[in-house]
Amino acid sequence: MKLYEYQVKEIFSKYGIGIQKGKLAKTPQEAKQVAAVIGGPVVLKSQVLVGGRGKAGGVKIIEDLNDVEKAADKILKTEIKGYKPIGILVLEKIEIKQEFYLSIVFDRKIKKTVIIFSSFGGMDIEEVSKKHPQKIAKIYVEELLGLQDFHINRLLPLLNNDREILSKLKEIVKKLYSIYKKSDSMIVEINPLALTENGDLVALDGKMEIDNNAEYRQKSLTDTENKDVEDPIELIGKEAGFVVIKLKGNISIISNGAGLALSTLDLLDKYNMGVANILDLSGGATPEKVMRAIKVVIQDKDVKGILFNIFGGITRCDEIARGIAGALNSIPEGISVVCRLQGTNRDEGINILKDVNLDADTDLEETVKNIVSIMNRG
Amino acid sequence: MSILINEDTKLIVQGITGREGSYHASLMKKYGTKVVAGVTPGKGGHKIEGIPVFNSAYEAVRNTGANASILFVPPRFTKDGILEAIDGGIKLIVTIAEGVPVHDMLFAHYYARLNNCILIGPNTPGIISPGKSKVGFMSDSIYKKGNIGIMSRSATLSYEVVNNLSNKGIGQSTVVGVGGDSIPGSSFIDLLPLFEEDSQTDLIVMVGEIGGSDEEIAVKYIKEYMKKPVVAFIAGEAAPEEKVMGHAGAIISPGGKGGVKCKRKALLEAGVHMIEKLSEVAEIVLKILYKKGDFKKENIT
Repeated sequence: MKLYEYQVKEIFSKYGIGIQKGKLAKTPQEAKQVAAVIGGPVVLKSQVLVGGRGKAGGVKIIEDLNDVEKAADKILKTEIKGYKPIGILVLEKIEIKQEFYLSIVFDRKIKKTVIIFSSFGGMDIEEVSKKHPQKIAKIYVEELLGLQDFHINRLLPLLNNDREILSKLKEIVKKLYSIYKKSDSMIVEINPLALTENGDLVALDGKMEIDNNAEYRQKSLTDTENKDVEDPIELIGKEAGFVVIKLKGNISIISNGAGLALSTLDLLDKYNMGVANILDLSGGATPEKVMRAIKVVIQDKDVKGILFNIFGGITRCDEIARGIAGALNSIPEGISVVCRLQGTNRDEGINILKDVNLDADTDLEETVKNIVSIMNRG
Repeated sequence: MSILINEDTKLIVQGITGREGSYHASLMKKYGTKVVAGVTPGKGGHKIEGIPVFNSAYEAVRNTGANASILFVPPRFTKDGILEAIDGGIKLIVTIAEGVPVHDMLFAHYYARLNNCILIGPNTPGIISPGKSKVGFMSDSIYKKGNIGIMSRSATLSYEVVNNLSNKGIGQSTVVGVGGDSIPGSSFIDLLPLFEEDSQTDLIVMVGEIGGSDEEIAVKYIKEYMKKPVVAFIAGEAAPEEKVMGHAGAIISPGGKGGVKCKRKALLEAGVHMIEKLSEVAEIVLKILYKKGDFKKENIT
């Protein structure tokens, strides 16, 4: 789960990382009030969870306080990549001597934590790595060792051997590392990290993404406001206790495993059939759970057909069939249902479906062909 | 021989007094696995399905000589459970739970390695060496003893492969679920050498998914060291970029890194036989084994 800049900065401030004076404003009037308290020129930043705010008109520097309200109104009304801002972060404008880049990231490929630092901040880091690879340092931290001073000392060449800046940076990297660990982050990023005229390091922007699996112990960070980036049907699914993935097409795939769902998606794709959504029942689903799942996917207006792909292991096909049979009346006309049952209690499942006039196949490809022909018939 | 587990495996079940733990402890025992103890703090001295329960893994190992453990504990207790088993001296740990926090697994992964402990999972159905031992919750009736080694990131897709093979009379040496999470305790690269050395295994089927680079990492090893044929299937060709496809592990990063095309290309270059549809596994496996001469016609039922 991604956090908003204002949330990230609250965390930075709590851990003693320098940030600009400022506050979140929900209305143009509030923005004006905050700006008045700050006094002097301010920066208005749209609070959305997608990148590219600057180019889309979501960041404005306002020199004259009388212009704040109007500018704030415009920013609040500007959608960025389809997302409405939840507010504006009003910040004091500060004078910058140099901009750095700093992030701590979990690199899945090598299963290690990486500290990425660049003396070219404020730009897209992928861009910097292409154009100025010598200006980027990547430092891998062994999990059992943890972050040590020597790791950070390796950044000295990128700081023109300035030991004074290094010692300030050291404090920030250490604080960021403890945020990364304590908040179960997948990434924490400061870009730019500004060196001010007075020689202080200040985080001008902040990004964080929290591990979804750790949400239960990060409740204070992952409050409800962040939900708006999800697709409505994914959210409905989440509230019903399922992982739902919204895609483009008309078939809903309900399966008892992510891999199984993926291979079903691939097979449908081979027949040029698009998938509206995927719902993973996980192992051991009860009839009630199956009924709940059906209730979720039929709320997706794109759905014209539901394909069940079940390979019973810990999941029992008869339980699945009972759920399908129980929900059959609630499925709107115009949505077809096909089932593939295999594995534990397959035959019992097929018989239960037969009783409600629903044919089930044991072969996936036949089932896929079946729904493809139903869809093509319209 | 089979890999990881066999008839001599002495298993403890952590979380044995829970609903899943007790149910699957009895199923594993029924299959023939030597389930020597269960562990649930505070329930020491009880018996579940005739299996003695201890308060800690340490106690269980000291009293029974157990050498493997399976964890039926919720994701939030998984890290502690793994560390407890390692501390107790266990050298093979299978962990079932789905949704273990990344930072928990990061620590457990490296701590297990430091202690020469093989960690399988999380988010796995477990391991089975058909006819000998099962450490997991898979429905064992579809498995058949034989000469194919299988490793899979997805549970359900491993069932598909096994079902397809067994129906054609092709049995398995060991089937390992490496799990669908971002940080599996063991990856393909860790299991390949074991299968290569195993005298019972003649061919390896690798079932991968989009996301990560475990398949690409395995490629290097296959190219340089594997003498046995490897057959691979990769799910998720039609998945869009940057979506988490159910398994946290199955995410394609922008630019096609982790995508199927990338993996397929690398695998083909290493001489791996790629499968397009899972329904064709048995056919392809048979073809390769015939060519190699490792397979006798009379073995096919």
